[in-house]
Amino acid sequence: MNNTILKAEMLSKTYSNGSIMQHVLKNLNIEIKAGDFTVIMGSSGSGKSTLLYALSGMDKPTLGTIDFKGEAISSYSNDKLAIFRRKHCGFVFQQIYLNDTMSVLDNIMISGLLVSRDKKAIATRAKQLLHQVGLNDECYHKYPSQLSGGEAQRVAIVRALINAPEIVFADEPTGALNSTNAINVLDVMSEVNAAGQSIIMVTHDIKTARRANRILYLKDGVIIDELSLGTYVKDDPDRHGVLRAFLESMGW
Amino acid sequence: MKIRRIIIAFTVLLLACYTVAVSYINGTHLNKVDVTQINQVVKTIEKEWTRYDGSEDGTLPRTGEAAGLTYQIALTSDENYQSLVFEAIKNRNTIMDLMDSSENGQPAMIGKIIFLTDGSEEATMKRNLINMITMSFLVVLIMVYVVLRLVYTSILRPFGVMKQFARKIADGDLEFRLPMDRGNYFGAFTESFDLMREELRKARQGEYQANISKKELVAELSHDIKTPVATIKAICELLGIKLAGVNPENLPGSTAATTITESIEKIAVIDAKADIIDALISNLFHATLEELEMLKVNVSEQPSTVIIQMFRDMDSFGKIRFKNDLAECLIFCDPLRLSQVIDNIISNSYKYADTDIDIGFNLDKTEKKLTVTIKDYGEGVNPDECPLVCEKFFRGSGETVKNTPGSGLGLYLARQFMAGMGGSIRCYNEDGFTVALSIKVV
Repeated sequence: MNNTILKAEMLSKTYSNGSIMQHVLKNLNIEIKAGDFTVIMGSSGSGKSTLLYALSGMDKPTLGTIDFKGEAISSYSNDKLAIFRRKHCGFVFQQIYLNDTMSVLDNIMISGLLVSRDKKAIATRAKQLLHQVGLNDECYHKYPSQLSGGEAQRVAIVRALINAPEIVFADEPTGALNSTNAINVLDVMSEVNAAGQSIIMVTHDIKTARRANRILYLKDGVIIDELSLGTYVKDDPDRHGVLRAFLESMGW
Repeated sequence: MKIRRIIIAFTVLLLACYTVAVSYINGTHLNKVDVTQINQVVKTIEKEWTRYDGSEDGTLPRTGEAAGLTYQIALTSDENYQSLVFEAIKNRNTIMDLMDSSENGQPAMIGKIIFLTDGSEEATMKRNLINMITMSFLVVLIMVYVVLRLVYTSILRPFGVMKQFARKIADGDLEFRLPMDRGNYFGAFTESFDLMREELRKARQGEYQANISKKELVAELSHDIKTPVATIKAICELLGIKLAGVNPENLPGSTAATTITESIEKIAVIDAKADIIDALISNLFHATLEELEMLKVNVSEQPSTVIIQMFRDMDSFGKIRFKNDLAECLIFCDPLRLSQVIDNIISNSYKYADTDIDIGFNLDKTEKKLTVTIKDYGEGVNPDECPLVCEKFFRGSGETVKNTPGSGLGLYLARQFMAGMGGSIRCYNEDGFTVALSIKVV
């Protein structure tokens, strides 16, 4: 499992306002390998979310190329990008964005039905995934308002996984959760990653970042350094120390 | 003249309010009690009373109406006589005695006639007056607001604008126009202010122009002075060689030898001084160029795609070909200076080679450098002169060069600019003449 699935070259994103240009990302080169749990860190305004959205095809880069398994998605049209995202990307956001008028199962299945017509297979997969994230049969027909924040986020993760995407993009998935729920959600993400799912996640939180095997530190639109935690086992106390030292050296 | 109209309108409105109020107060009168009429009515009732009293049948109705007056009769014999009378007093009704003169001719009071006048009239009037006063007050208030608003728009706001204007002028922004409103009192005033700004701007522009042309003159002159100085130096050298070759023995007179030695010394002095003049002129020229801001470079982060546009802008003969795609990235450059550099290289090629021009791009990610090669297929430059092309005032020795006007500054400035942007320029012969621009990548 060492093959590159996502590769960005000389990626730049510029927001212009009249003659004033704001370069949010500057000539970034990133390679994401299958099975990686990559975390993007950096202070506010360093371009973390912009990078995540550019990599996931939610936003188009101003300059540079993004290759997804050898296909230059940066040159796709908006419609083509939308189809690409449906098939190959899963998204988890800080705001959970579940449809309040649909049951948990329907919320998940609607995402699946965008890609496949096989209702039965999707339902089976949805149930299996829900079970996997620790949600039992009782919750299938609950509505989002009847779920706790952590449960809702786990449902959102299942929704992100329903189409078996190559990469899950998460933007501060635990940002709006209390610590117990956050740990629950992170455990789910760690498990999913252990099962081979590639994850790219933006976070501010060192405890969240600790789950990753690779940390990219972004500053003023440039990756100033990266840290590999792959050599440390999951519960190694050194893992936290190394990460802390790394972040401190970055001026965290 | 708006203000006058408003004052008139204000006065008229106030007068109207006043007139309405006064005429209303004058017009409403509380129904006065008409004594004769009441007396008459009383007399009639008394007469009727007498008539009825005499007869057996019935009694006079206790209430009635006569001559527009409603009345009620309260007899002393009535049980509620007292309360009726008190009620009437409370209502401010008119009360008259009802006399009966039937008995022994002596009139005696048998009761009271109460005239039910309308007591609510006063209250109505009071209410109407309050309404009227409220209306008048509101009208006055609105008028005051209107006047205040006018004062604000026609006086205070123009002052605010003026204040802002003065600040801009003080900051040296002479392009800021003062918006003029001829309709208000400050129109003329504003106009003179704007005139002042206009004149100031012209004066400053004139000064700037004068300064520039003065400096350009200095630059041009210093360049021109270099030619005679070079001649002087050449002649000095020539004279020195000549005099050194003269054998004093062959000359008549004893002073000849000393004269020649002295001459050689003096020529050496002239030569040395000419060198100093040359150096000073160079300094002067350099200083003026710098002052002309010809060498200032403002580097910013720019998308590399701007380079394509620069070439497109220069491609008036359709000879520019792109050999490969430009790697998109962010580069450090001053778009103005970079376009000057490219302009210069391309126009040189047009002037001296006049062939197709091939543009190649190469992005070195590890070195963080974008190299742009501009290549033509002309004669190129003399290999010996190649290292010199970027020197100040250097011009090649080829025939085409001699027949083309130029100052020998283009590539010199190009090198300065590229250095200012953190890049470099390299020139070499390959098929024709090739210039490689190396630009720093962010």
